[in-house]
Amino acid sequence: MKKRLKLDSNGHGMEEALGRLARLMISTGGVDRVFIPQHDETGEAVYATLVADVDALKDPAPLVPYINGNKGREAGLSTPKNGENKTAVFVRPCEARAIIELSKLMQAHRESMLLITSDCPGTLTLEDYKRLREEHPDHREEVAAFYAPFHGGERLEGHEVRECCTFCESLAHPMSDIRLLLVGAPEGTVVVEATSEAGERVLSKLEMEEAAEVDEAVREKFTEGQKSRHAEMEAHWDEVVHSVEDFMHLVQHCRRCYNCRAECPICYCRECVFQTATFEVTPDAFGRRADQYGVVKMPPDTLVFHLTRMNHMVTSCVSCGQCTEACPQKIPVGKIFSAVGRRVQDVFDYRAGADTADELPHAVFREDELEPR
Amino acid sequence: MCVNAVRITLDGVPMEVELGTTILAAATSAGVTIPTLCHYGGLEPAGACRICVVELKTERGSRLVPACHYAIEAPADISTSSERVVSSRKMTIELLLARCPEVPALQELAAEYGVETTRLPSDDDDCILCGLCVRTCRDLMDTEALSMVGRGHGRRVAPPYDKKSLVCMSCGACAFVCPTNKIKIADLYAGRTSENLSTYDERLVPVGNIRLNYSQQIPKVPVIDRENCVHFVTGACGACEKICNVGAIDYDQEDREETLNVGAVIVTPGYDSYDASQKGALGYGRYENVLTNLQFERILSASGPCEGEIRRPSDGAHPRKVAFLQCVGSRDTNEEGKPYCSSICCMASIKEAVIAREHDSNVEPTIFYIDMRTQGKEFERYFEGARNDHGIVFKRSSVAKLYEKPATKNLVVRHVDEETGEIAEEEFDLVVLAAGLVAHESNAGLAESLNITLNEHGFCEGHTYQVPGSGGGNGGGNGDGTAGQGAGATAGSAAGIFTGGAFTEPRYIPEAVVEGSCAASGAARLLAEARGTLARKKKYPKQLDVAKAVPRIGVFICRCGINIAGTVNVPDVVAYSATLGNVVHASEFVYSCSQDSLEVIKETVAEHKLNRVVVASCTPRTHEYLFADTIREAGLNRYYFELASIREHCSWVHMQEPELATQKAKELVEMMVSKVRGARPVSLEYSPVVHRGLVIGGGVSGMNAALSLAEQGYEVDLVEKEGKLGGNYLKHRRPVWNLYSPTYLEDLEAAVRANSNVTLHLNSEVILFSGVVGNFYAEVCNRETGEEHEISCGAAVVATGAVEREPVEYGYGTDERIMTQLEFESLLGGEDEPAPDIKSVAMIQCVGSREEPNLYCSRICCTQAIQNAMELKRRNPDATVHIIYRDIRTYGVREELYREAREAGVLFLRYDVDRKPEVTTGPDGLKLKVYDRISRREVELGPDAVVLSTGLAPRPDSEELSKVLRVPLTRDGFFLEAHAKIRPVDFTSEGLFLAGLAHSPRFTNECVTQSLGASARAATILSKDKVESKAEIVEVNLARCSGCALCVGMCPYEARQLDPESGKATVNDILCQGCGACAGICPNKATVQHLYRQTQIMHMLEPVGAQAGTEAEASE
Amino acid sequence: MEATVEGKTPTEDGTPTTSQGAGPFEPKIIAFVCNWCTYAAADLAGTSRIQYPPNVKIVRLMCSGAIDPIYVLRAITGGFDGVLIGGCHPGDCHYQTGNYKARRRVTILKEILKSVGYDEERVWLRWISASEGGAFAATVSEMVEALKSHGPNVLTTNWNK
Repeated sequence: MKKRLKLDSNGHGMEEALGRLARLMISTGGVDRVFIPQHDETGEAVYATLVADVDALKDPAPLVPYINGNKGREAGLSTPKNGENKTAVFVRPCEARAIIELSKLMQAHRESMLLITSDCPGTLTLEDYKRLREEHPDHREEVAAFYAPFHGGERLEGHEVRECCTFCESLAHPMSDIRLLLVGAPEGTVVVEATSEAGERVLSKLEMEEAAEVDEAVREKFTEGQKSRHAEMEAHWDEVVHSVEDFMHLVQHCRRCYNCRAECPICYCRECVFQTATFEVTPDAFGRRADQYGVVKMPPDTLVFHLTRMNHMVTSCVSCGQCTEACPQKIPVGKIFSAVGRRVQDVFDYRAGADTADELPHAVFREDELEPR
Repeated sequence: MCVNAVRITLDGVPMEVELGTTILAAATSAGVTIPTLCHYGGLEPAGACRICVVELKTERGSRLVPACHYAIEAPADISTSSERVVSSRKMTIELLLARCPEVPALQELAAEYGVETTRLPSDDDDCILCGLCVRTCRDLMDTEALSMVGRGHGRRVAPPYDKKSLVCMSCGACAFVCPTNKIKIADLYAGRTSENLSTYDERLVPVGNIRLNYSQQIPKVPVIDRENCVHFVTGACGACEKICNVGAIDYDQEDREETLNVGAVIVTPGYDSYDASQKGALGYGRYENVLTNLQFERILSASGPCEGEIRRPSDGAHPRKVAFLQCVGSRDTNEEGKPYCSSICCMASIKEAVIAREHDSNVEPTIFYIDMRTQGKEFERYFEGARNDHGIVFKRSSVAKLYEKPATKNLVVRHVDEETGEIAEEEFDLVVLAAGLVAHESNAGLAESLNITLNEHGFCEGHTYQVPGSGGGNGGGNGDGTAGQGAGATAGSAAGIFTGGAFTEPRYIPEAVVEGSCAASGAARLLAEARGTLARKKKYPKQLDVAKAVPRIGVFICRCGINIAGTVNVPDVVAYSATLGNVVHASEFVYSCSQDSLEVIKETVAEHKLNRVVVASCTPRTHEYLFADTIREAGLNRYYFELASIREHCSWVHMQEPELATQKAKELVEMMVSKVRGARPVSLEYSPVVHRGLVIGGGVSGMNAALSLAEQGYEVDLVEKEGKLGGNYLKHRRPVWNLYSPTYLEDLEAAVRANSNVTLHLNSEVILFSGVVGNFYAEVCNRETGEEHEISCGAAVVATGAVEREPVEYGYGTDERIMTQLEFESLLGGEDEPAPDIKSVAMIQCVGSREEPNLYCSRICCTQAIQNAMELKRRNPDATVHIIYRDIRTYGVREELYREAREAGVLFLRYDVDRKPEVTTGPDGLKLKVYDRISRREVELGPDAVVLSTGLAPRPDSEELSKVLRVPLTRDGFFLEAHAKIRPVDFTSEGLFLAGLAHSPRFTNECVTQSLGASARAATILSKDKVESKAEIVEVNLARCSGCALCVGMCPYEARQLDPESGKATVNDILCQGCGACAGICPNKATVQHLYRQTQIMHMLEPVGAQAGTEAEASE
Repeated sequence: MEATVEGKTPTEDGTPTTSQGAGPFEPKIIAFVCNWCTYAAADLAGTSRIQYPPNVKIVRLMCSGAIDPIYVLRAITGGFDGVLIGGCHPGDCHYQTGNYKARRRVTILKEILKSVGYDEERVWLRWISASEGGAFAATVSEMVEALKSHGPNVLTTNWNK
């Protein structure tokens, strides 16, 4: 029997209730710090914050329907490795997946975290989010409105979540220490579930009411819907991409701004290979290339850029879709990487971000595999 | 101005010359060319031809004077090319041309001066009457064998009374100096002119009396042939001394005797070729188009007289049909022949035939042979390839006679047709005689001065099989390492003298190489205490720092004789290379690896301030180090070098497509230019060597290798899988072929056990092996106790042996009367046992050998069979033995055993591989049916026993060991050496060596030689104090490293770790083996592999012609 | 105009063509090979004079495990029609396991290429030991034939990449 606590909004909103939970964790000594999004003083913007002083946790925003970049990387960067200090990390499923991938790449330290993920209905694009804010100037109302249908496994009508969110397959991440269950929970409440011993230890220090069961059928239904949309997306890929020219067509407007790479939580290189001399040739050599082929595109190597980035991180792509948001040319980078990533991961029976125990496909090998070539 | 000097102006340039200098000498020293015809430096000038006239302007006016003759005594203004001069020369040329219109030297002059036609009536003489020949003969040679005779139009050069001269020495000087090639010695000399022929080129071409004997001569300084030089013979001439401007000629040089104090002598004088003219019926020396195999080899050689073009001597035509006649002077019991087999000729002829076909696909070679003896490693496949893929015809027939067709000088070879048994004749354009190998005449003198013994054939009696310290073996070596006969190939009975190669018996290159190493090991055992005391260290110049300099690349393209140039248009590649970015020099060599070419590379580096070098030649595995070391000698870091393999990867594999091969060669060069452009210097670390050897396998080979290392002063771990030492040797009742003492094995084992340097590991195997040359780590597991030992060693020798193949053919296993040779051997019993009750035996050779899937010859079975047959005959004289064979391969002196067997009544029947004998068993005994190719009839035998010669098979566990050691196997499952000829006992992996049957089938004495050779090779590492780290290790660009540790996971050697403080990746240079797996996974090349930097490889992939960077490479 | 001849090839109407120009298509192959096995096999093919088409150029690596897929990507977008990667047979790697690492990397890369619609059969990974000179030559011949049937690499002819 998992430990499940009931967290009531008590009219102050679910985010404030989660803030209370976070403050309690620090004050009961369960964790030393909390990594959690907060509204700034204007209430207009949301930032990830690392909080040590409970009084500084004023305006928590863990459920705001907008994500200002995948914060998995920041969570990793702000959590000391092998630290005595434990940090409670409030993130969304895609961010949790990124943390799991990054921890395999030594860029995050899962063992120093109390990983807390919430059920996520998906987030909006910045424009949509602004529209929602206009409709609900009080962000407590905005969150309540956005999550109201979600308890029943539905999304708020009239606002489309980002494309990658439409086929995100996981609710609160099963490999978290604590999950914040919304789907299947009574409206206005959050069911706080310990999913690890560490989570249990922390929760057991809190004097809170035990929660009733969540409605698993509702959760199941929601997840199934997401999965079938993922399958649709994959099938659509097959229809759209028959040849590499089709693929080139998809990325044809790429201007090599590297925003996708900069926003990608997995792209962890301190200096990207595309900024090194690896692909550099002298001006004269460009001329000779033109002589050879008759024509070269400037800047060159758009395709090589995308394929190289795929080669480096597509097995770890967590489908957060931040690359798509970052692309000034509206290239569906996230969808492309999701589709390709799924295929490659399938070869190794691997799911990016599922479990820290799974080994990165390119980092290991088996002697008796993949033959005949 | 000194007293003897005078000021002149030459072509407007003022200069100062010594008083009395001729104008010609003054002009030459000023670099001004004046044409001459009758001038020769060694003679007083005559001014006869008038072609050298120049205009001399003095106060008294201007006039034309001959430059060669006119001595400058007063200040003068000289013009060598004024209008007046040119017009005078033109007139002279016109006159001379009229007399001698066909002389090339005059035609060239005429062309240069624009003289197109002559207005005078043409003559057809070739003599311009310059008199140079007459003056040379008279003034230089102190002989008047010819003079000017007649007057006016009748004036000419002739010997006195137009008779051939009796005083002429046929020295050839007159012909040498003649500017028009008019003089022919044969017209002058009364005797038979004997040209001085090149011994290097097998007397195919004449040579001068001052010469380089061959182009690879070291030092590359010409020598005077004192036997033939006129100056040395008569005291006359001396022209060379007069002509040599630098005074290099020294007639007074004497041979010098030097005394060296040495502790050991290695004697490897080689062999001589059988004088084929002794076989008069084969026409050598009588028919122009009959050559010896060595002569033909020179003809095939790119550096030979025909530059690799196959031309026959009589008319220079390209021969189509070429016959190779085997066993000329070998296997020949006639008085003028040699009874032994020369071992190498079969393979040599096959190779010559194949190469001839490569050089000229119209050549149709036919090889006439008795038995095809291709018993070396991989030779059988070569033979089959020659027959099946190269279209070479093999005819089994000994040729006794051939004759020449006078009109065509073609040769008709009379032979017995194998199919019909009838005499047949076949006409060939060229015949090559496989003249055998004989002992050098000088061996006798050498033997006397060294106090060693020669055998009846004049070869040295060598003993590789003595066990030091045992008192056993011939001659009783005392083995205390001071004055004993070490167990190298000890020569005769003399102490401290070791020999190798064909001095003891005809041998192939790999065997000769192994013997050299073997002899070295013998010397090293003897001199172990003095090791290193006289060593000198090679010094290199200080390394230039060119890391920041703009690349200046030199490219050297090798012709490799015609190996490359025969397919690839080398000048084209040179021209292309010169256009590549940063390439400031491009040139070609005939052989890049020759000493003088290496000197040129060094000079070019200095001259053109090169900071990077590319050589395009052969595979880097053979010469990369040589070239890299050369640029190091030139002051560059040796890793500013790349080698483009345009031979193995281009010319040899695209022989039919010269244009595409040339294009590919350009691209390969360009790739390496691109790579070297991004090269960075690598400074090597050194790590200490573990002075301990590991020998795997405790048979005769392993024990010898271990003992040799131990006696050289190294500790050795000897690992044997079985519970006792001895290996295959234990199974033999008597050794095959070797004349070992009966106690050989016991003596050897006792010596091994007695040596405190040897640690024995019986019942053990190596289960893990890692590390680098000089620093290996092995785990040895005792199979019985399960105990594991950890061993450190600097080098290891693999001597794991082979096994007798278990036959599946001829009903083996169904009837105990069908057995293998080893089984028969034990049935024969020892001396003290009663003779077996066997009246008749049929032996079948090549069972499961020499055909797929075992397309190799096991080398020992013929001798083994004959030996066993002889033993049976000895014990049981009435017994009948049939040996049913394909080719009898009793190579070398084993041939005598074959002859003895025939004389003793052993019967030999020959079968074809596609018509094998049939063996049936029944109640009335064994039946064997075979079609005998010799008598061309079916023979039926009812022997008491059928003995199968099944050959040797690789050990079944070789594959496992090859995986543990990470060394390759051949297709046949034996261990694969680094290079068949020049590195026969080395593995490609540094520090690992192989010997014995694990290498390939061979006799025990050959195994011993090989294992001693391997020990010498291992000692080249164990004797060092330190080894260089690998250059291809990786380094980390810390600024770029994110600490993701993918590299750590990739490393099989634990050389990659994360630094706990910084979280960045680190490299342990000693543990790193340079595989590059970590660099391959590093997403942004924070990990960089030396010599294989990512930017280098990326630039190699640029399209052809795309590399034109003139700046230093951008930093990575 | 031969495929391997450098420089652009103006056709009669003056428009440039790619290196594949007119004439029968000759695929260009780059081979990244292990120093210890396939490179040695190529040497052996040379010393054995085993003839094979000149369409291949060899880049020596110390181990197939040193292959960076970037090299393959550079090659297939930079003018080559096929890429051959040669390593030691499973279990035979000179560096213990480099060939398995290569196999993973190449598998991932080929799956990516396939997923984006690229003809991943242009990339070959083959195990060729030091003694298999014939196998090296045969592999090259086979690959040349296979690539001829695949036609020119679209990424060589398409400049918009």
